[in-house]
Amino acid sequence: MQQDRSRRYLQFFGPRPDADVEDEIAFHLEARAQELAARGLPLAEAREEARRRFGDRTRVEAEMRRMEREKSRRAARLEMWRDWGSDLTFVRRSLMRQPLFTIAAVLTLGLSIGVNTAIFSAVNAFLLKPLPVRDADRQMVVATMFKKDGITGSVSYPLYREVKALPVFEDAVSWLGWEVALRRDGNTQKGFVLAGSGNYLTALGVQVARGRGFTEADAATRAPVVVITDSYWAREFGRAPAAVGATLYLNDVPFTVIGVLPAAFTGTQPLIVPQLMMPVESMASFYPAIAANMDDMSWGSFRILARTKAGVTPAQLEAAMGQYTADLEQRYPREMLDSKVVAAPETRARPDLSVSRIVPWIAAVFFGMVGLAVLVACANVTNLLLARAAARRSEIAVRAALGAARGRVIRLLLTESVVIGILSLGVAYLLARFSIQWFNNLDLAIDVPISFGLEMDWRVFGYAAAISLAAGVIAGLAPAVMGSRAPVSEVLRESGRSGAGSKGRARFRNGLVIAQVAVSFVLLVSGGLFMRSARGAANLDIGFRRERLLVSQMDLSLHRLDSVQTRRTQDQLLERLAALPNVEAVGLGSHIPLGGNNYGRNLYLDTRPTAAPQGMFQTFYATVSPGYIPALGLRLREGRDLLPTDDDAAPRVAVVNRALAEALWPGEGALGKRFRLDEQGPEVEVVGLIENAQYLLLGEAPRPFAYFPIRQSYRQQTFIFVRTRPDDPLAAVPDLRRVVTEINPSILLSGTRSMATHLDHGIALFFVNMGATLATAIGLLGLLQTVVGLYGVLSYTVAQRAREFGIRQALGASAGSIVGQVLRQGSVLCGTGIAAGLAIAIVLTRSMSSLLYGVSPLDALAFGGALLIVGVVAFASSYLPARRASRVAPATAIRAE
Amino acid sequence: MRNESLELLRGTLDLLILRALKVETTHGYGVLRWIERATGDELRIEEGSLYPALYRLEKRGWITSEWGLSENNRRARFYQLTRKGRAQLETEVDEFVRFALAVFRALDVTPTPA
Repeated sequence: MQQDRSRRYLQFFGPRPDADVEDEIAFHLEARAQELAARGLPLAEAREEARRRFGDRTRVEAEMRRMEREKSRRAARLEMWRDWGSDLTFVRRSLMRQPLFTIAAVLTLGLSIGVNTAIFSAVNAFLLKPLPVRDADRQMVVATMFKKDGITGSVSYPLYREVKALPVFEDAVSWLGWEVALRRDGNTQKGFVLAGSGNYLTALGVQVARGRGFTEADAATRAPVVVITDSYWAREFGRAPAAVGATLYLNDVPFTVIGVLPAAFTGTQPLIVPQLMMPVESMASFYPAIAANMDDMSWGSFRILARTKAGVTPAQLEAAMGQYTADLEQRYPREMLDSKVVAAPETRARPDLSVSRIVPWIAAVFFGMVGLAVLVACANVTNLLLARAAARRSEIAVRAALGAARGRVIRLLLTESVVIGILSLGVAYLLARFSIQWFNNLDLAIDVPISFGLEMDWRVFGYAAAISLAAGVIAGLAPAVMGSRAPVSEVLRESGRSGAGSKGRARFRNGLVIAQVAVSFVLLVSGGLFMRSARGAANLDIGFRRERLLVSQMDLSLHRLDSVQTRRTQDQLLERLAALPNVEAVGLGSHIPLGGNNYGRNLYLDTRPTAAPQGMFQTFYATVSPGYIPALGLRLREGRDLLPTDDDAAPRVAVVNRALAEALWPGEGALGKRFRLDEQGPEVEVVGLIENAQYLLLGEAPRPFAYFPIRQSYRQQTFIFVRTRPDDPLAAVPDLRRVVTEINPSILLSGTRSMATHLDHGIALFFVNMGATLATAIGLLGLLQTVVGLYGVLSYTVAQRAREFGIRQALGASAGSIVGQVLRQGSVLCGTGIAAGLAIAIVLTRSMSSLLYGVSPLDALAFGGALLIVGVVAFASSYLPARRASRVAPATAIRAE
Repeated sequence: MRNESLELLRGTLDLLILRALKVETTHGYGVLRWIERATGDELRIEEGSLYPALYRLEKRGWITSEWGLSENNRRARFYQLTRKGRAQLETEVDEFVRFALAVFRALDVTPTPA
């Protein structure tokens, strides 16, 4: 009681600590003086005596002021918390009183924020999260790039040494990924090794978690040592400390584990998590040619990460690369044909410089979509809150009448929507966690150990939290401001009547619904376009046939077969597989289309065509066996396929594609034309011409490509292509395994899958399919929200106009006419929204065209589908409120008056 | 020397303030008058030091204050003992008595009521 009174007292006058202190001292002095005066001292003297007895007033007063100010600050803080506390209690009660509203609002926000967060976690992993290495912001990917199409390539080791010495760089590391047969305790599996320069771990500042890392000294002695990654340590050794010192066999050569890498560091190869890392020099113990390759300017298998000196600007870096390119063109005209050296920040070069240019686009499109979804969700919650605010006007008016300041009411209402935002963060968090897990567990039909590395780190959580709070504020702002503006007189005038509310507010709500419909329409169109694009991509003419085709891989270099054994194994395999009754065709090839790995080389021409004025021409190529072309279903246009007789003893031959023929010999016909593979080498005759196919990227422009017989160029790593007679190519897997085991039981087959799987779940279509899934999910989310929004607004209008509808019916209006009236209102809102959405979509989808395959950004089906869906949904969500309107009993409505 | 006596005085002052407020809720001047009367004007308190002491006690939660009207209708700040303050007073009285008896024993004198 007393506490309360004192609080009100304080509040009334506001805190004024200085004046209080002065008053208190003045009171004391006066009281003392009065007493002394009463004892007979003259008043002036009494006052003098009182002051003397009090002592050093200035000092005491200063001390008191300090303490008093502190006290009033404490009181203010306490007051604030108490207010928050009472606000929260109020909010909790009001949210619990209407659980349906609360659940709808929280789910609406939570779902869209969750999707948004999941997308952000991908963006975070792909674009934002720096590598866990020293000076990550100064690490540059250095690569060669074709001037023509921006496709980037790996570099040679000599080039790495030169890059490392360039004055713009402080240090650089280089590495290559290499597949090995990894044996431990008699169990062999395919492994992926990251073989780095001797300084790889030290220059990147990687501290091993256990044991030691490899160094330049290990590289110099070609020590057979490896460090293992955390995931391999966990999987193979169960995190046992004894792993350090253990022996692993790489292609049958013993290597000693000297250390375990920290969990955070999985190497510098984007997306790939190798099992092992070692100095590249140490590969010599199972791959003797590596030493020679490391001095070969044309052996481009390495990647580079170079650390710029502090203060080097992007412009300086670019200039340095331009200068270096010019220098290389002088010294290595062949190796550098049509190429340049480029450098880009590591985060801008994921997963590859040539693709990284469209990655931000993809991110932007999806961010735009999910951003819109969140805004739609906010609009929904705004609408729900507005409806409630209107219902609570009398309560707010009473508060205002009791003296609550407007700011205070706004704060109270905002607290409510912020609480909704915070609750939705919980939903969003769970959804994002779930999505991230799902995404990380996706099984990809790719040959290397891949990890997307998505995780809920502080960045992602912070993002979700910020979006949730912002959504809470955005959704609640308009209702709070409007709700707090409730003049007592107006409310009292309205009391007991279900008035239609102010026109402005109705217009605002209608505007929101129109915007929602528009946005959902845009989202659905984008979703439809992506879905159509996925279909389109699957049906693109890829130049070969994807059905009834089995793919597998074998690497005879893992089994240390010499060239004679290799040839014999390959021959036997082709022969025995071809003899199987359910096999239509079989072939070996160095290259699987749309598999990510590609090889390029120069052709040398004696008669220089305009396309190759220097007599050199860059082409992609594959080394293939007879049967490869029919097995893949490539279309032979002229000439012949490669034959078993095209071997070392026979004249050199090649089959080329139309793009190559048209570039080099336009209008002449390619058959019988000749070129060389080495400047001084033997002539190669073109014996066949095939139709262009897709090799690197889906939807790419025709690209020159040549096929050389495997018997004229030795190759141990090959893909096996089996075209089966049965519809399901996987039915031939047991046969394939049996045949391989019969020939050589130690041969490891890997990556056995159907071509359809390779395309759909491999890198070719993965992102397209992913995009379609995501876009559809976002579109449906938007649709769901449109339903909530439209239904909410119409229900609210119907409730407000119940009396009017009742009277109309009493006056003889038919139920049908009332249903029609509400439906009309719904369709006006919807129609306006769709019209706006149509305009927006036409403008926006054009920017998506670079991400679409085989479908126009104005695809009639996507637009028509969206139109139909939004129309049906709008009708459905208007119909229920309309029916309710037609059932208002006239008597009830009028009695409510 | 002077410092020590101040320290002692301050502790004692707090004790006396609490004791004064146990009798009645009053303003600073009232507290002072009670101490003067109760000690027969033996203890000379620097009046200025009373107020910081009151604020300190309030901060510790032993007393609370409230503005009100004095006997002669002036705006004054009234101090009141809290439950916590009451408990504190009991402890401090106990401690002070123990302290005083110990000093008496050392000085070999018998305390006699004044």
